[in-house]
Amino acid sequence: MLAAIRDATEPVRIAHLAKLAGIKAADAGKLIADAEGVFNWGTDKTPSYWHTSPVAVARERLLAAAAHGLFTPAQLLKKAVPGIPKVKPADVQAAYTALVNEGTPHFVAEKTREEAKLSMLAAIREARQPATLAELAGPVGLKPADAKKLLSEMEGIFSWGAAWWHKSSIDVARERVLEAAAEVPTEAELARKAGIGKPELKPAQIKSAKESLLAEKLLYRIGKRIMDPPHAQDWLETEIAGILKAAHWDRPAAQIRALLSGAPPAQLPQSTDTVEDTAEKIFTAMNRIAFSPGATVTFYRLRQQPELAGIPKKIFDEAALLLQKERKALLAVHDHASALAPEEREKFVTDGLGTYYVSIYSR
Amino acid sequence: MAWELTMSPSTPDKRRPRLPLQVNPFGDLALGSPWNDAPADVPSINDAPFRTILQALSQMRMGSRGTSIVMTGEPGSGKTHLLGRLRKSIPADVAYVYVRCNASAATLWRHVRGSLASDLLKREGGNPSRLQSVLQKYPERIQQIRGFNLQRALSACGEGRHVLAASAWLRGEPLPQADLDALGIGAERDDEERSRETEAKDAVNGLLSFLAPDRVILCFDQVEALETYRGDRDGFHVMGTMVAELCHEHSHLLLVSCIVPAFEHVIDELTNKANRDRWQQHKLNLRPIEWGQAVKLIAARLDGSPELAPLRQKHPQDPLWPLDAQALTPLFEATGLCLPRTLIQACRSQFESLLGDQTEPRPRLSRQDFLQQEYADALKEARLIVPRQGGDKTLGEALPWLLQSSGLNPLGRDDRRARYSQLAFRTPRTDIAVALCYCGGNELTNRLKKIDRFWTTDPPAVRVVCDASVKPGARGQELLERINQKGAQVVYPLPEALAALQAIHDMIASARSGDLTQDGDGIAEPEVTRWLLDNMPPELEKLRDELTGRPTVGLSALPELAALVSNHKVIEAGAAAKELGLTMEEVSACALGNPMRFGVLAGPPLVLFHAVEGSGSPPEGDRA
Repeated sequence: MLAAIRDATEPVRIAHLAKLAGIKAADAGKLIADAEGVFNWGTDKTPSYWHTSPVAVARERLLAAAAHGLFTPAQLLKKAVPGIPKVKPADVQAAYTALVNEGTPHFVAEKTREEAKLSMLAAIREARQPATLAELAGPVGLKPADAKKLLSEMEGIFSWGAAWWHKSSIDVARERVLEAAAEVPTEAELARKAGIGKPELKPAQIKSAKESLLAEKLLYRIGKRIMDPPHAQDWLETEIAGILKAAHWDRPAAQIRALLSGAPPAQLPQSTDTVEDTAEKIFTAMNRIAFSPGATVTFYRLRQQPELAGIPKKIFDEAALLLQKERKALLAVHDHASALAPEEREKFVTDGLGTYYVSIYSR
Repeated sequence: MAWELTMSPSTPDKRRPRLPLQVNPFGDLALGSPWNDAPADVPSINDAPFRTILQALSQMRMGSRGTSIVMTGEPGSGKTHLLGRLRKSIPADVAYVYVRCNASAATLWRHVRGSLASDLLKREGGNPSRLQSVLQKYPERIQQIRGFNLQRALSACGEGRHVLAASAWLRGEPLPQADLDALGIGAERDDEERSRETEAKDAVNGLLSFLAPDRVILCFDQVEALETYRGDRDGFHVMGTMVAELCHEHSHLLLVSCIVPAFEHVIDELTNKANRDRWQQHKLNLRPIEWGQAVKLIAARLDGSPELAPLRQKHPQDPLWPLDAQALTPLFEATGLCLPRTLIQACRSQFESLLGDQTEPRPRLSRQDFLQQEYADALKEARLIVPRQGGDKTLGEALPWLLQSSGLNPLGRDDRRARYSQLAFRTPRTDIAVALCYCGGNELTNRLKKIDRFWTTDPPAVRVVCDASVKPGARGQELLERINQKGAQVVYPLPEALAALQAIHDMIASARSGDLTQDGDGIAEPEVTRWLLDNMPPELEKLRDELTGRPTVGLSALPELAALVSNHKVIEAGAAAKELGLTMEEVSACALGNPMRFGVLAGPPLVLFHAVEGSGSPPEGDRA
């Protein structure tokens, strides 16, 4: 009976063994039960015997399956059960547990797998640039191949060739381009600045990011430059101050900053001048800024004079009309003001009866 | 139309002088152009601004750099008249050029080129033109020009070869290839970025360089006409840039720009301060005249009438005889001043009343009839102008007005859209970009390439405006089909529609400058606009409808069918289909969908005939 068991390719039923031995099955069962190196694959009622235990076979099968890669326990169990002879899941589980406890390579406890994932994820998030496989696998005690398998299952990380990071190359390109755009560079400067730094980006990636941001109106082309308006305040402040200075029209930095911040303009102090006083001021300003005596001065320019800026429109208009009435000056009529939008007409002096005046000149 | 008698014969006024029948010396109210002969000039009127301009000219003679002067003045204050006085007063060695600025931002350089060349080629009294004189005296100056084509054209003019073609090229008019070959002028470069405006700019700079060191006065009149639609400021920005560049490039140039007060603030509001300052280096204003000057003006006009001279000698104490001064003084009541045109108008009316019943009853036109007459005159002129300057220019300058006046909102400039279209506007349904491709040859192909390359999203929808008489080359046809497949619609405006657009554009410009008057009453732009919209010619309505989104009918075969019918004059639809390789349905759809182009006899068989321009819609009976 033992010889038959040794030679068999699968467990042998007790009935078959008894027949071979020419004895009763019950007697055969008592004899075999005491034998060493024989394992029952069946039940107590219907035993079948083989020279290898089910757990051992399961172990072999697990080892064979695991040799192909790092599988989850469920995957390994599935792979180990089928076959001849078929192994029970409980036996596979027992074999798996033993392999894990022994620290067999490829056999990582479920808990350990999850811990490894978390560790690697934390490492990736903390890294300043994509982390290589070796950098991730070592701290968690995994072979690179095993770590790679785990990484492929993880979400929220992006492959950078042979490395991994929590940001995609698209995200990085967009960040770099936005950062470079804060200085309002030319397109060539933008490409150069965004290309500096780790991880390295290809020019095509930077260009693609720039075009996407432009299309999304997060960046704007201003002439030959690229601007990220919310972050370009310093540059805008410098440029505006420079332009005003060149025009001999300096304004305090605080005013420029307030303009850029979008804060509501400070109310100009309302003048308390009378119509007559205002007329005098208009006359003086007109003669001061006219190109020559008798040349027209638009009310647009007059209103920019500091002494006239704060005068209420009604007073200003009446003062201009007074000058014409007193024959000190003449007002030039806008001949189709009625066709203009109301906000356009506001710029002109009006007599309140439908006539609008554009400019004034001395008689 | 109402008729009125200038004087009732049943109530003779013994106090009023009776005059022999004669031409009213106050008949001309608006000068029109400084090249026209002006009625009597009074030197003291607007003398100060005039002297300032002459002084600038003298400074140039002494070696100073030229300058730019802006001259403001209400309509009727005498701006164009002063430019005319200037033309007559300048030394013979100073070239005078007049540009009426009814152009757009996209066509300004072409416009200036046309006016510059025209004035330099103008001959007065049998004398050679300015250009001919310089070519004869200083032929070597041709070498100081950059621009091979300009050198060739000037050489041809100087040598008396192909003068007409050379003159046309100098003015920027489109020329057939045969003429270009005869002149030895290269064909349009296949350079997508080189626009006709750039070519025009080079030609202007080249001509001015050719004239150097002779001084040149360049007068820009009606600068306000640069507003092609209400609120349009692009033309003024381009003008500012142009003036700045001309001042910088040419030290022998004096620029005088005339603008009405209603648009004066636009120059002040230019965002490019450098250009603004270069444009407005000096500013002059033409003011209304006081009574003393008015008397001189009226006397000068009266003295200019040979029929009145012997009669006026009998009234030496009354400089205004036969007019009544008391009837005129109310004009000066409000401010003590009066515009010259207003004064002349009042004098005209008074003089007419003095001619009494000698004049035939004059039909007084209603405003509607007057505007209809003005439009008809402008249309006649426009039919000559459009073929000369090219339909593209007319479309660029006048389409914005048409679309905005029809209630559509023009869209602001967009860099990407500007690469393939010249106009864009918003309709209730969508945004529409208009690409003007009313040209031929390489230029057409290049423009179609740009549309194909840069138009990638819808909206905006695209309308491509093409010339139906131009058959694109193979590449152009391929591009046109591809653009069609992408969803663009091709629009073929009738030549009569372009003429109507040009006529309207000119009328609006005149109204805006205050030069459109009926019996001395200025007709404001809003009134002219209303009339034009109420009386829009059908071919222009069709163009507008096609641009704004009405589905087009049978357009793909239009150019070929139009050419075939134009050749044959009368042809059966079946024969046309066979010749063009089309189906009967396609030919019918094209003909019936374009009643302005084709006359159709229902038949059977269906017969098409050539529709004549200027005849309006075909008679009802001719349509299927």
